[in-house]
Amino acid sequence: MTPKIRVACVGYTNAWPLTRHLDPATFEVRACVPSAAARLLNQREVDVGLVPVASLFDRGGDWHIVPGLCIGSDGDVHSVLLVGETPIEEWDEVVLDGESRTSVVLAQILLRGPLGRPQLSVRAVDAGTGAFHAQGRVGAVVIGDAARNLPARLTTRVDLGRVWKDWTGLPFVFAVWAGRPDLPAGAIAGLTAAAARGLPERASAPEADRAYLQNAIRYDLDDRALMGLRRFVALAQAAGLFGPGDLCLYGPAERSRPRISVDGLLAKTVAGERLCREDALRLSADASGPDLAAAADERRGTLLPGRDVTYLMAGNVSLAAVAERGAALAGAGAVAAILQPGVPEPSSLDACVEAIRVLKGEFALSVTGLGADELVGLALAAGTSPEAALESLVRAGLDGFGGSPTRAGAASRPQWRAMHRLAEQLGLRGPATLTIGQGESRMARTEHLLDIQDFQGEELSAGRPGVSGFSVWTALGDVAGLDDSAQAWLRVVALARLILRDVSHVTAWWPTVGLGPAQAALFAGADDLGPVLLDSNALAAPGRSWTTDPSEVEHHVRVAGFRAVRRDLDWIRLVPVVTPSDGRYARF
Amino acid sequence: MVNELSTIERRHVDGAGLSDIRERLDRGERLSFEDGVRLFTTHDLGALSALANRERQRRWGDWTFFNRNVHVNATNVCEATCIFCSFSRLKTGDAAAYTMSLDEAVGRVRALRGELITEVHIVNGLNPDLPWEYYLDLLRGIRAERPDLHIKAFTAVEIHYFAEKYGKSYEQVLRELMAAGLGSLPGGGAEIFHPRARKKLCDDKVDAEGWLEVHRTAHELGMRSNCTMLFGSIETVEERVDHMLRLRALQDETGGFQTFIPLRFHHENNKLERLREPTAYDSLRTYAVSRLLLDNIDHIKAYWIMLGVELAQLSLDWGVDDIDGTVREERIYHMAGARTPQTLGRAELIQLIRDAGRIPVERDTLYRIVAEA
Repeated sequence: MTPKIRVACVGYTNAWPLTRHLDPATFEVRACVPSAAARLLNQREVDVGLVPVASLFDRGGDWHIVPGLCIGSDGDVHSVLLVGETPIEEWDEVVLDGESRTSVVLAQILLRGPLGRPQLSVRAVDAGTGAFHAQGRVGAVVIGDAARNLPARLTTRVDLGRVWKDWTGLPFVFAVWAGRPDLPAGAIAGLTAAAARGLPERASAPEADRAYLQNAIRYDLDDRALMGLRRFVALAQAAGLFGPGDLCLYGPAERSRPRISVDGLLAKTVAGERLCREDALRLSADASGPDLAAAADERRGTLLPGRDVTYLMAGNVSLAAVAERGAALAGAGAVAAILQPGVPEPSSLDACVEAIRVLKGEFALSVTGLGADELVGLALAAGTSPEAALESLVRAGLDGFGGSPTRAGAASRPQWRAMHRLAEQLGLRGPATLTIGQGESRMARTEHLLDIQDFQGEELSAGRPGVSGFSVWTALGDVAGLDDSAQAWLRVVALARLILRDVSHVTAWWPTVGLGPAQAALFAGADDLGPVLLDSNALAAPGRSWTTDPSEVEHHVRVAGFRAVRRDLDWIRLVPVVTPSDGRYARF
Repeated sequence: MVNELSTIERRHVDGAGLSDIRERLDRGERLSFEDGVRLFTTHDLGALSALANRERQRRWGDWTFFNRNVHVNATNVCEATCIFCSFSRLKTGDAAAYTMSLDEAVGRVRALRGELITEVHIVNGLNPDLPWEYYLDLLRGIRAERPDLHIKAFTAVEIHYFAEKYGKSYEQVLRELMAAGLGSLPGGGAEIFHPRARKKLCDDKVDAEGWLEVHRTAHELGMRSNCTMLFGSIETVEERVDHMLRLRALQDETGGFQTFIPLRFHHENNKLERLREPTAYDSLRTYAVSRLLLDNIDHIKAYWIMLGVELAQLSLDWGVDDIDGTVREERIYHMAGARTPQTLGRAELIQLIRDAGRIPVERDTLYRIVAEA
């Protein structure tokens, strides 16, 4: 049995929401007065205590503070007052009630600061006698229940929580849970759990205390409260009222996220063995990013030996500016155009047919683009079938298919499979894709990869070519919590290499994450950087920009120790006919 | 388990020809100059990640530190002629030159009255037109305004300049600044220590021995400090390793460095525009090698403001455990063309770290935990 965690608690009214539900199975509670709590901690008679802030600096002890909980105020506190029969300006002396040193120090700082009586002499008196001493031109600090039941003669009543708030704009913290740095495991969780049960019970506190506990006392040790605490300590130390010492919180309970060994699964994938669905999902759930990257890198080295990284001199073309973009792409040395039909209208199909003619006829570009969803949309708008629509596009000269954004889950739909199969039958090839960062789960991403691998398996065993590659990108725009970080993107790159056993090429589609992460992807299973002449205006995430300069792309590939090689839509490598500088490339 | 290499990582590292280095790290042995050069030239980012991440995990687990601070660059007037700097040789009166009045500078801090920051970071040009009292008053003014803020101010280059200009020893300069409120020294101005590169980059700046002596003195006076290296301009890989090992040697002596910050060279608006900026590959391997070589320095920091969000996230897998903070008023990098947003809110910073699969921890200047994020 693990020994119980020993806790020192004060019996004040405002403490009970934090202390009454301390689990007796975990904690051994010792009731004491505030000053004793610090002493018990110092003597190691308790592990953690609810201690007044002033006690933390009594001996410069190495205390850590439990995050999240405190006894504080954010404005009127009602239980810490400066009182007198006369206004503060007329006082000759103020007596300090010894019961709460934190309140006494607060009073001294406020008298020196916003209350404007820095020279006022102070005198300590016995605990609980402040109100008695407050007579004539003598004021007093009174605290606790005494402050909430004052004789009527004391007409000056200054709430120190309020003065602090007005002066600093911050909450004030009177007491915190504190302990030595090596607090036993479970203590913080136990204290937090006790508060979670105790705080709601304030609503059923005795009538006299209810408003005080619910409104005047603030139990959150949040950012603002911490700031107030730090400010108070700094002021008290500067004034010589606190000894030296630092404020330090206990860190997060966990140092490391749990990591589960998936060595066996990784070894299987590296060897090219097929993973069952369950194993693939386990791998994607449990493997660390670096592990996946290492395995994917090894797999890539087996499948595609050498250090070549391909990219495609191609850019996107919208129906709105076909001739203009076509000319720009041709001028930049593009080999292909990626058609983006936009929101489908009845005329879009015809416009696509015309665009293909222009791009091929006038600019000698191969044309690709259009995914299953886009094709169906075009056909629907034009009042024809997807089959007929695709046939008319192929007749116009469409060279490739796919490569438009795809949501996770799409590849499980019969329509997706049918469209890809139809494209294959019409002689078109193209990549499957996945866009991450649209609210899908990690599992859904892996399912998507598994669906593509299933499809690919079927196609290959039926003697069809299947998809030509796989490309992953992140959704545009920064929406928190969608797990579309560079790490998340790299994971999918690596998982794609491991799960898509029958797909040769994995493209690190980098424009939304940048060329930096793309370099890292080259060490995580990717062998291709995809199209590099994209129109950045149309695709840049807010606040980001990227180069469309192929020499920058090549530079990034080269410095990472790879060789940059141009390819065409069919993944045929293009090599310079003479030198790259004259811009002429031929199929390898 | 968490702190050990997985089977696949180990195979990867050994496959990259680094098994002897891996074995030395397994045994907790120190790496040599030759090891450092080999790590730099391995061309295997995956192996570097595996090794550096293990060292990071051993020290900090998944904890990833950040802080909240305000940057004050009180003057950009500067006598130095460093070719990588956009502030170079600015004179009082030049169009782009400015010097804040004390009121203005303290006002930067005052204006953040309700902001939850813990640190003021001050670095300046070497301004020939200011009296010594200016700096002392600056510190006193900020301390009076916000006694709860830690003041981290003046690079070793500035300290050296003060000593020469006002006729004091390093120790005198530091003691007077400490009395006025200085809490620690930032790590800037180290650039590249090796005399060949240093002569080209910043010939009239304090030399390596002077820079190190300032920090040695600060450490002896009980102050902590940081250290930096400017990488990706004209230095060689050997000069990077040499730089790190000089820092390691001083750290063996004093233990006063808290964090090493590799600073990526930015090329706009300075005399090195013709150079390409280092790519992510170079940044990541530099972080990794520094984590492996600097076995006696607790933290490796990557400023997200220099790297951009994506790369800052990735760097956490290459040995980095600190991404600095929510910075206000950053001028130096933005004059050199950094395009990252100038501030990220605390919540965004925390999300950025969580998205990268790590555990965010807010710290203060001295790496005390400020809040459980």
